[in-house]
Amino acid sequence: MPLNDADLGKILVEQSYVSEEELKQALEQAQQRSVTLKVVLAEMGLLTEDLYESALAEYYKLPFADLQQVQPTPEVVSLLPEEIARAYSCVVIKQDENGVMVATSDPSNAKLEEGVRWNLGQTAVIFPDQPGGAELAAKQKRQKFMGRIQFLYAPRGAIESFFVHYRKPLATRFQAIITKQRKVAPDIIT
Amino acid sequence: MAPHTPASQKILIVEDERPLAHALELKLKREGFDVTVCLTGPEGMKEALTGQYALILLDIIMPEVDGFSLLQEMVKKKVKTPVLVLSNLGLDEDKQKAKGLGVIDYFVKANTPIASIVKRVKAALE
Repeated sequence: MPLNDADLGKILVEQSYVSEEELKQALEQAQQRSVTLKVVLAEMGLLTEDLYESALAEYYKLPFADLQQVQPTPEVVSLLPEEIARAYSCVVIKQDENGVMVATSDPSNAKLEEGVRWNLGQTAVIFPDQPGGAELAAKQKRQKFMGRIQFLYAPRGAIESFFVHYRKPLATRFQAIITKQRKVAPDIIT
Repeated sequence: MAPHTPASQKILIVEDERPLAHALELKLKREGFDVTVCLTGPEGMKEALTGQYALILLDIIMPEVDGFSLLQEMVKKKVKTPVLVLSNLGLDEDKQKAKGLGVIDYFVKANTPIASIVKRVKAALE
């Protein structure tokens, strides 16, 4: 869930990424031009995507995930269904007997932990705020993951680079198209 | 001799990425350090060679004068200011080259939260 301008401004000033005076100027401009604070701060040369992410990690007091050191396998990444990983911008990077490590670029999402607990190790997705989600989970006799989850921060680009593990082999994808369409050749040939 | 409080410690930031230099400046000033920012290599070289800084934060890739040239000049002129490198270059050979020129630590920007850099500066000057 993107932060609103007031929240972002508060975080950036509290973490000393911009001064109060700079924030005031930027907020005025953002309001006048109907653009976001982030856009104005970038234009003023005060904020980059990396700094924005760094500020969020500091604010939410999450350690940075060193994704050069911890390289999750496709099996570990696939512990969370792709829809959940994309919706919450998160990826499982490690699993051990005590629980899992989850890297996210969106720690401000209040539903993140619930979403991970409901869907870890599942194939069918249930969103925590989905109408009828609790009933569906009960019907499926789904058990929420109750182990330890350690959240870490990682930039969105790094998180998304692991989504490649969700890509199925070409043969599987091709088979899915055939199953869905019941034909492969265009109408002109058949 | 007066104790080394942050206020008495001057830090030089040589970094051509203005947003990063600015955020480091604000954060280090909040910690009480006296901070000077140079956004170009030549300016940074001039300041670094004065030898009046307690520590230098140095970018490597910069137009005109890069960080390695600045480090080589410091070695040549026997300026002993401790240097922390902030770089987009993550190869071991770059790290080794920088270490060979006497830097005390080397951070790859993409993997380093800015708070860790500030923490390292404070640890180096304690």
